[in-house]
Amino acid sequence: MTGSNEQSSNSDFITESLELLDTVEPDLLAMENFDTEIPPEAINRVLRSIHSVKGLSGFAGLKAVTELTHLMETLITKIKDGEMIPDSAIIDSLLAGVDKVRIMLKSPRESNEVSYKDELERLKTILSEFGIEPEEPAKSRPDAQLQASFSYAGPDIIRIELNLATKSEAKSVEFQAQKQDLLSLGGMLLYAIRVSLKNDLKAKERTTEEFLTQMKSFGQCLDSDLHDLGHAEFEKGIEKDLACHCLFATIMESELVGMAMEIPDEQIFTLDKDMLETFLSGKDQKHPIPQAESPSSHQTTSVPEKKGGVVDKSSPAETIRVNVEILDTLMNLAGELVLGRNQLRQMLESSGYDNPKLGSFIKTLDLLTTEIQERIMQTRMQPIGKIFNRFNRVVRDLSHQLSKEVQIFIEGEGVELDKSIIEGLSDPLTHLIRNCIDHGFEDPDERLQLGKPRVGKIHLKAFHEGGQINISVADDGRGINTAKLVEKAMTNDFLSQEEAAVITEKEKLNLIFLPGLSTAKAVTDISGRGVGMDVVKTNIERLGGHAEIDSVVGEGTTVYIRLPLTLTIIDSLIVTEGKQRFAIPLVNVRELVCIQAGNASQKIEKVGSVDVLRLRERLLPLVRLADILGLKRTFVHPETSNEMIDQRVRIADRRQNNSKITSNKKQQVEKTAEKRHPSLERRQRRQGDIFVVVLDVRGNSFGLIVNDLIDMEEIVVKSLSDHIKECRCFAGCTIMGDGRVIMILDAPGIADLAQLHFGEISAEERHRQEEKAHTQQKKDSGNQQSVIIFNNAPEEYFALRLDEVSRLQMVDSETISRIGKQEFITYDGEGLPLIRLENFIPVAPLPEDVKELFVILPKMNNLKTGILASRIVDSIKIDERVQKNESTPPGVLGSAVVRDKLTLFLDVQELFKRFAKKADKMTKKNVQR
Amino acid sequence: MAIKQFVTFGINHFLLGIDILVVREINKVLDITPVQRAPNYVYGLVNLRGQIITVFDLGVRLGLGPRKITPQSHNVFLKNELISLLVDSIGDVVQVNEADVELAPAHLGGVEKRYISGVVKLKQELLIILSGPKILEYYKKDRGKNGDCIG
Repeated sequence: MTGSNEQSSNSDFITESLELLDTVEPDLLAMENFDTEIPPEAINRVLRSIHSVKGLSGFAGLKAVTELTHLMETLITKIKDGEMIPDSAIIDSLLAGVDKVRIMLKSPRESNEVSYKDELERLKTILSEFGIEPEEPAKSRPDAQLQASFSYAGPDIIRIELNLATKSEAKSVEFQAQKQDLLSLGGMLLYAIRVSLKNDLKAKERTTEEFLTQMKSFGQCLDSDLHDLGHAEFEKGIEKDLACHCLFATIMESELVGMAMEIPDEQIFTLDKDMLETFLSGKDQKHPIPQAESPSSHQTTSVPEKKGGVVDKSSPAETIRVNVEILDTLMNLAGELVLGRNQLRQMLESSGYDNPKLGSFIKTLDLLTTEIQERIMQTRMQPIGKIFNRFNRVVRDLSHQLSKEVQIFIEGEGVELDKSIIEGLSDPLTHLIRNCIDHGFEDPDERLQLGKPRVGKIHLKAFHEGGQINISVADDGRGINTAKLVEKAMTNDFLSQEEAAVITEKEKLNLIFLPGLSTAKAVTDISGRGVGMDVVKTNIERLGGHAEIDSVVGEGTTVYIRLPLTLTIIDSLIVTEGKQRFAIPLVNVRELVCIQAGNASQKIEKVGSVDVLRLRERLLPLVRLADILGLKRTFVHPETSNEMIDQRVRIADRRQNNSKITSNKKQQVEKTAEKRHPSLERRQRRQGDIFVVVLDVRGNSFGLIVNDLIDMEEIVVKSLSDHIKECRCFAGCTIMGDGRVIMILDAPGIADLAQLHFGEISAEERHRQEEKAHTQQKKDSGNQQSVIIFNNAPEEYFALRLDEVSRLQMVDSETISRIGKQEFITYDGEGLPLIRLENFIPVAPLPEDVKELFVILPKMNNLKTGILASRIVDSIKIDERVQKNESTPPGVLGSAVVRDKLTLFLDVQELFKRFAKKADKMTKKNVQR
Repeated sequence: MAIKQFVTFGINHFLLGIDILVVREINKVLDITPVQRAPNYVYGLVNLRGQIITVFDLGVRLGLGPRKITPQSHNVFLKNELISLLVDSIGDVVQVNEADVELAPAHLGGVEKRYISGVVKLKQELLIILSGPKILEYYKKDRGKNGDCIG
C-alpha cells in the first residue's frame, strides 16, 4: 500500500544524496590544491552537502551512512575551523568515505551490511592524531542525566517519563506520544525541550503558538504541555517562572536545535532512541498490538514536508527533475510548431497580405517559435563539465596508484552537449585518460632524465567549432612509437610488407584504432597507447562523432574528438535523386565534388568492378545513389523539368580500356557487370555536371553520385518503424519545411550495400603511387634538364644540355673560312674551328644554301670549338629520359621524343674527342706529307 | 448481443472492414514518401501532424497486388500504431451483430487468409473483416519471400 510510496521517496532521497556527493568531490579536490588558504565557500559547500546527506540518510534510516557522514562532517568542521590542514591523507580518507557512502546509497537495502570499517577507522585515526576524540553521532549518545521510562498509556499511546535533572533543578516530566509517531521516527532524533515561559518566550517576545509553529518548521512536536496553556495560565506561569516541556522529533542535532529554537543548550535533553526502540519492539512481541497501517500513512504525509525543509536549505539553484520523455515530446511539438509557422507564412505570402499588421504579427510568431525550439533544446543540454570534473579524481587516484605524477588541466567545462551524448562520452574519455596515465607518461624520474618536468600534464579541453563540439585529450608523455605499431600490425596480418612501406605517418598512427591491435600487450607496453582504442573510436562514432590521433614520439599524444551538439538535431545536406529528396548527415560528408560535363571521362575510371574518381592523387570509389536505392536512373530535364530516364549504359571511355585490369579483376567485372552499369560518361542533359558527395565511413571515403545538391539544412531526426528498419540504407527520416517526409541516408549502410572493396582500391592507389614514385625516380636519375633544341638538317632535331653550352653565336655563312677540310670562324680575335655534325655522326648534312648559321660554343676548357647549326629551335626544360640502344651512334647520348619530334641528345665530350682525334690525324697526315 | 462497428473500404472489388475501435482517423491520401529497399508491402511514409506514419499497401499485404493512387484513395490510420493502410476507396461504417460474423470460407479470391478474422454477409455483398493486430505483425519471412526491394 505504502511500499511504493516509501520506495519512491527513498529513491528521491538517494538521487538527491548522490547529486550532493557529486558536488562534494570537486570541492574536496580543490581543498587539497589550496595549500595556504582554502576558499571558505568550498568548505562550506562540502559541509553543507555532507550534512544534508547525513540528514537525509538518518531520515531514511540508513545508519551506516549516517555514522560515516557524521565522522566526515566532524573532520571537515575541523578543517573549516583551521584546526587541521587538509593534506592528501585527509582528503584521501574523505574521498574514500564519499565513495563508500555512494556505494551504500546505490544499494540502500544492503547499506547497513556494507563494510565501512576501514573508512571509519581511517577517519577516526586522523581525528585522534589531532587529539580530537571522534564524537559519536548524537543519536547514539544518550544523555547521561536523562533517565527515561516507557510504558503504554493506551493501545496506541505511549507514556514517556523523563527525569530532567539540571544543575538548578531536578524534575520529572511525563509525555504521551502516539505510538505511530514514534514508530515512524526513522532517522529523526528525539529531544525533550524545556521551555521557560519567562526567559524563552516572554523575553524573546514569542507566544506559545509562535513557538510551536517555529518548532514544527524544524521537526515534529509529538507532545507538549504548551498546547494546553491558556492565556491566563501563561501569564501566571511567567510570574512563577514556570517551564513547559515539549517532546520534539527532528533530524537536527542538539546544538542546532538550541540555535534554531533559541533555547539554551542545557534545556535540551536527548532521548535514547535505542531504549525506545527496544521498548517498542519488546512490547510488540508480548502484546501484539496490531501494527495499524496508519503509521505508514502518517509517515508518508510527514515525509515530504520534512524532506522539503531540509533539502531547500542545501540546494544551490532552483531546478526540478523532468522526465526526458516529456522533453522529447515537447521537442517534437516544437518542431511541429515551426512547421505550422512555415506553412502559415508560405500561405500568407502566396496569397498576399491584406492586412499590413499581419506582417509584424508573423514576425513575432517567428521569433517566438524559434525561441521556444531553442529553449526546449537547451533543456536537454548539459555542461560537459559534468563528466570532465570526474577526471580530477580519476587522475589523482590513478597517478597515486601507478606512482606517477600527473596533473590534469581542464578547459571548457561550460560547453554544453546533449544529455545522451554526455552519457555516452564518459566511457571513452575515461579510457583515454586512463591510457594517458597508465601508458602515456614516463615515470617521474625518467621524465627528469629526459629533461621534462617531473609532473606530467594532461590537457582536457572542449570547445565549439563550426557547430560541432571538439574535445581534445593531450598529454606530454612519451608519444606513440609508430614503428612498433606497424610491426605489430604486420605480425597480426593487418598490414602487408608492401603496405607498411608506403603508408603515411598518420595512417600508421591510425593503426592504433584497429580492433586486434589494441589489446596486444607488447604494443601497449612500448607504444604507450592502445588499450581498447578501437572501443573508444566505436563509441565515439556511435555518438555520430569522429576520433583522430596525433602523436610525436617523446613529446606526447593528442586525441581529438569531434561530436555533434545533439543527436536529434543534425546538420544535413539535402540532395535529390529523381524527384525525391534525401538528407545526408553532414558529419559524414567530407566534401562535394562537381565533375563538369566534359571532364567525366578523364576523371572517372574503373578499378575492378568499381568506378573510381581520381581526386587529388587519390582514388575514390563511386556509388550511384539511384543504383543503391534501386531507382531508375533519371535526370530532370533542365528546361521542361520533366523526369527523364537516363539511358546511358555505355562503357565509359578509352582510358578505361587502357587501364590495367588484371585477370582476376576482370572476372569481377564480369560477375557484377549485369548488376552495375559502369557508365559514367558525359550526361545527356545540357548541364551534364555530375555531383559527387564524398562520404567518410570508418576512415574510408567514397563518392556518392546524386542528381543534384539542394541545400544544407538542420533536421530533426526521427526514427524508423520496425518494418523499414532493415533497409540498411536509411538512418532515419525527417520532416521538411513543406511537411514532406524525407529519408536520411546512412553512409555506412550505403557503403555496405555497394559492397565497396576499399582494400582493393587502396591497393590500386598504392600501386599507382608507387609507379609514380618510380617514374619520379627515373626522372631524377635521368636528370630533368634544360636543353637547347636545334636543327642541323631542317627536319632533324638535336639537343644539347644548356649547362654544357657557354654561348650561342649567329654567323653569316660567308664569314666561315676554310683551311683544308676544317672550317673556322673568327671569334674573340681567334680562329675557332667548327664542327659539322654530319662529319661525326650519321645525320643529314647542313643545307648548303643557308645564309645565316648558328655556332654553339660548348663549355670546354682545353679546346675551343663550335658546333654549327642551321636553326636554334628553343631552349626548354624536359624530363623525358633519354633512351639509348645499340643503334645509337657514338657522339650521341641517346634519343627522346621532345614535343613530338625525335631528338638526338649530343654527347659533347665524345664529339670533341673525335674531333680532336680527327684534327690530330689531319695534322699527322699533313706532317707526313 | 454485441453490436460491432466496422469501417469499410475497398481493395479491387473486395469490400473489407476493420473494427472501428482500432482506427484513429481516415484521410485523403497525403504526400507519401517512398522508401526504397523496404519490404514491398510498405508504400512509404507520411507526416501526420509531426508523426511519421508508415503506410502499408493493403493490396500487397493481402496478396492482391500493388495499389495505384487515385483520387478515391484513402489512408486509414490505426490507433496506437504509427501505421496506416492505403486503400482504394472508403465506404460506410457498418454496424454488425457480432453473432453474424462467420468464419472465413476456405477460398476468398486470393486474399491472404491469415489477415482475415471473419466475414459478414451484408445485403448486397460480402464484408471481409480484417484482423487489426495481424495486419500489423512484422513477419520476418515476408522479406525473404517477397524480396526486399520495390524498384
